Amino acid sequence: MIEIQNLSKAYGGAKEKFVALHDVNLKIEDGDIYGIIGLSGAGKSTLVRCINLLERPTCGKILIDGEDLTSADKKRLREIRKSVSMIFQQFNLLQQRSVLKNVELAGELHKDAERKARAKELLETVGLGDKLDAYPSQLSGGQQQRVAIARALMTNPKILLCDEATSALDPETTKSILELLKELNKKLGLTIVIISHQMSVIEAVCNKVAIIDHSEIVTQGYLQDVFLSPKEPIAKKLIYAGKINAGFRGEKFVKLVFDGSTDKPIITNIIQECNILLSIIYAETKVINDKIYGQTIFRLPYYDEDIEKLSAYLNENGVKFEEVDSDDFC
Amino acid sequence: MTFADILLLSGETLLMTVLSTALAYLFGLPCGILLNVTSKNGLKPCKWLNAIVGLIVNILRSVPCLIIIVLCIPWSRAWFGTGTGEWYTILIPLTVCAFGFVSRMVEQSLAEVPAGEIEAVRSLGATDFQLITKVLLPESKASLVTGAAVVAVSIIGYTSFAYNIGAGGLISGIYTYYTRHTGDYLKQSVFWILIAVVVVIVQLIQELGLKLAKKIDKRRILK
Repeated sequence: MIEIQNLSKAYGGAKEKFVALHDVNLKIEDGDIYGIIGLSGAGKSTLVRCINLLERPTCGKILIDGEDLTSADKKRLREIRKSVSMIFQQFNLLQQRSVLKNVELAGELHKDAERKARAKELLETVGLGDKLDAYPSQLSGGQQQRVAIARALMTNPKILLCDEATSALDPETTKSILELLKELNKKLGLTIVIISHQMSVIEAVCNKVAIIDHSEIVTQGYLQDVFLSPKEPIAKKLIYAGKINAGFRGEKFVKLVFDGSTDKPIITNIIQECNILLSIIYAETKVINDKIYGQTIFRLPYYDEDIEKLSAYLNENGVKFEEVDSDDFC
Repeated sequence: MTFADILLLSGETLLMTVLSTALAYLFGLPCGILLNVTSKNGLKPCKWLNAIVGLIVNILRSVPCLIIIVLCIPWSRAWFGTGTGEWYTILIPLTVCAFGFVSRMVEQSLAEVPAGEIEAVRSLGATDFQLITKVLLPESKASLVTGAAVVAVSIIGYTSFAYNIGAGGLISGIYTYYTRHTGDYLKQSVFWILIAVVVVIVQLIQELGLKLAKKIDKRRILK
């Protein structure tokens, strides 16, 4: 379990202070795939780099299974780092070492006699058993990230930190890397922390998410709760950005959230039984933690006349809905 | 001047160059590592140490080589029994001359190692010492070799000063030849042959360095 308590990080002296993180509190349970999302410069990278103390926080605590990293001595810290591995946006493989030697490195650092066999095994796991003697420059981005994952697993970590690990990859490769992470999470019980600015990445694999904005955690919780009913402006912006036509300004809409609790054809019924006219301006379904969720946003041409009738019908049928403003997502 | 003479002079120059380069690296490599490690973006930033070592290196680099050669005469005398007249009396001053240069070259080469690579290995639980031996040095080896070739070529240039202390070598041989044939040295084929030999040696070192660097560098190999 990772517990981040009152974590703050500031750069520079008293004169030109730059606050990268302000009073962050997070709890990441064992086995979570925890997404941290935010815009560039929000502080998410600093946050993940504090978890293995690549960045030393100005104040606050980082507890891994109850042990505070910030008060560990150097030797203990190196020991803890074995259980908290990391992969990076730029892969950061050693360019002068072969694939196998790159993975072996972690074993070299900790005098692991079995390192060669283990490195081969891990490269097999990430699907690169045939590239042992290749050099990083001969591999594609996706392959390099797989090597980096194998390297990260060498120390038998409990936690894997992913700092924009798929941001330099194309969508197909991103998908395959995320699949791999999911598989490792299931197979090894690996706790994974994913930093990304892409909603799609978080959606694809995470069970929990935190949104960070201007150095602070704005919201956190289960993915479906945060994604289906975003409350804070930044959450709405991140989730709906670019998806809804910005032409609808100053209007009111209704948002329905389906979570599989009814199997009635709700929208058809609204039109036929309630006699309400509507046009769908946004709709999507998502599979989150193996459950299907859907949301639909629609526009009512006769909003004021119809809204009461509509809410009565939806309440009666137990469908979650919300009245939303165009400013929320345009 | 016979062929044997030319061979002997070339041998002296090569010996001076290779030994001085090796000695300069013996001291300059650790110093360059120290400069890099203690720099602002280094593994262990240490402002005062970096400033002191940097100052020493800068002072050594700003004293002209000829002056260093004169200053080193007593030192050579103490160690070798003579401060002038033998090829090896140039070794100490050439090492001192090149030391600062080597330090800066090494510092520069190490600085080219991407910070991300260092960070990645640090996150695996490496000690600072392991970061130097497993990341900084191996990852910059191509750049270090290229640097060494540049240093060696500069040292060949410095061997000119061997003339001033009678330490011999090809370049002082050329100068001596000139002093004996001031009237028509430009018309003497021997004079030009000697120059050609110097050019060939320099080219050889340069090429060898670049070839070796390219060969050991795995960053740009074909798929």
